[in-house]
Amino acid sequence: MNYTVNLVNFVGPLDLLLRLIEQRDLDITEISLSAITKDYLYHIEKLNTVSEELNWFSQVASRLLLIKSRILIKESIQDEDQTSDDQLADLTKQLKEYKLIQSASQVIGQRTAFRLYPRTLTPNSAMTKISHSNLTKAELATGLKKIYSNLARSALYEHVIVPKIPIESKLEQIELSLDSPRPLDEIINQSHSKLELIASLLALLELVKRRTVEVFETPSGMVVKRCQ
Amino acid sequence: MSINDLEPAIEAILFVAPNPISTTQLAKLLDSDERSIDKNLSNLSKTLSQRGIKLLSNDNHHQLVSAPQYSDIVKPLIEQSAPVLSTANLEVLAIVAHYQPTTKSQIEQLRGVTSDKTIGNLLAKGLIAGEKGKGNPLDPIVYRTTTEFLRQVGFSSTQELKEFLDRELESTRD
Repeated sequence: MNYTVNLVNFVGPLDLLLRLIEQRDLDITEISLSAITKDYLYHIEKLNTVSEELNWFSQVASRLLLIKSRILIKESIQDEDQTSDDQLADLTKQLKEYKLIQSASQVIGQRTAFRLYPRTLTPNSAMTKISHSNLTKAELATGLKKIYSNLARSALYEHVIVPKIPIESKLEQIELSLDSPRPLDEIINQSHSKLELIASLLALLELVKRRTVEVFETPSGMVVKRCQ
Repeated sequence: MSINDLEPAIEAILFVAPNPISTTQLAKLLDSDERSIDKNLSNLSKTLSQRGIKLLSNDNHHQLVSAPQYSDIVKPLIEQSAPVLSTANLEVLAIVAHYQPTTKSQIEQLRGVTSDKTIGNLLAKGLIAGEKGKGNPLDPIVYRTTTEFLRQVGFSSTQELKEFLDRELESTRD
């Protein structure tokens, strides 16, 4: 039978067994376990895991091999070794139990959408008292007026709004002004402030990067021209 | 305090309490006995069954919480990020929830793999708690789910959680 096995990290050997059984659409029986032994062995060969975990995988592998060998030579052996048979039956039982746990873990995972929230307000924060219990509304108003009159007049007008210069508009402006090659100084000297100067330089660098314009040196100084 | 006032009095205490309150504490605060407190807690739970709040009881500790069906509505207000649990974490939680009290060896037997790291992780998250047996010092540590776990999965008691899992798993069983 041809089918692909995804090489993902398994939670454990039982998880791997269960997936292999489900991929072949089998029930959990000893015969199914015998059928997937080869797939299982192929898988643990490729498993990149630490030795302690590998030990669990090998333990299951040895049980699978025993199951497979028993089924293959069933006719020729007698049921003398009862303990060994019990051990084998244990694996199917364990696998069924594990399947149940997987279902339970999925159910629990879905239940996180039904979380219960306790009250978050603590008594300490709720019971903070105002110590100035004699404070009246009139006193509060007088206090505010006093603070306001004490503010230096200049402080009220100190905040200056700095105009924003978008680089995009500068890009457009420079590009439009380049019908013919122009000296670099001329482009930069158009700026009215340090901020505009920085914006012009950044825009120019961006245009060079985009290969829209190129800058070259002449005996009279740097010249900017549109790329052909 | 008259016996009729006990239920609303318990409700009032649990409403202002920031953390779960034990039956013993309630009995002490209300100058009553634990049996009467338990009876009234059970009545309170019934009274709240049609409300937006619910009584959460675990390990003889009680707390008022929002009802599970309103989790989505309450969540944005609290702004807690949803807990992220790995498959291994969920597996161990499912075993502890279903078989509690359970031991590390039972967990490993059922999963077929070493589970020290996952158990440690869940203990650190406060979703399970380990308890050393009081009798024989060689007795293993037994694990149970915590109140925090019940809160995160929306159950008001361990009993309710177990019954829910039994119902859900009925179809998976042979």
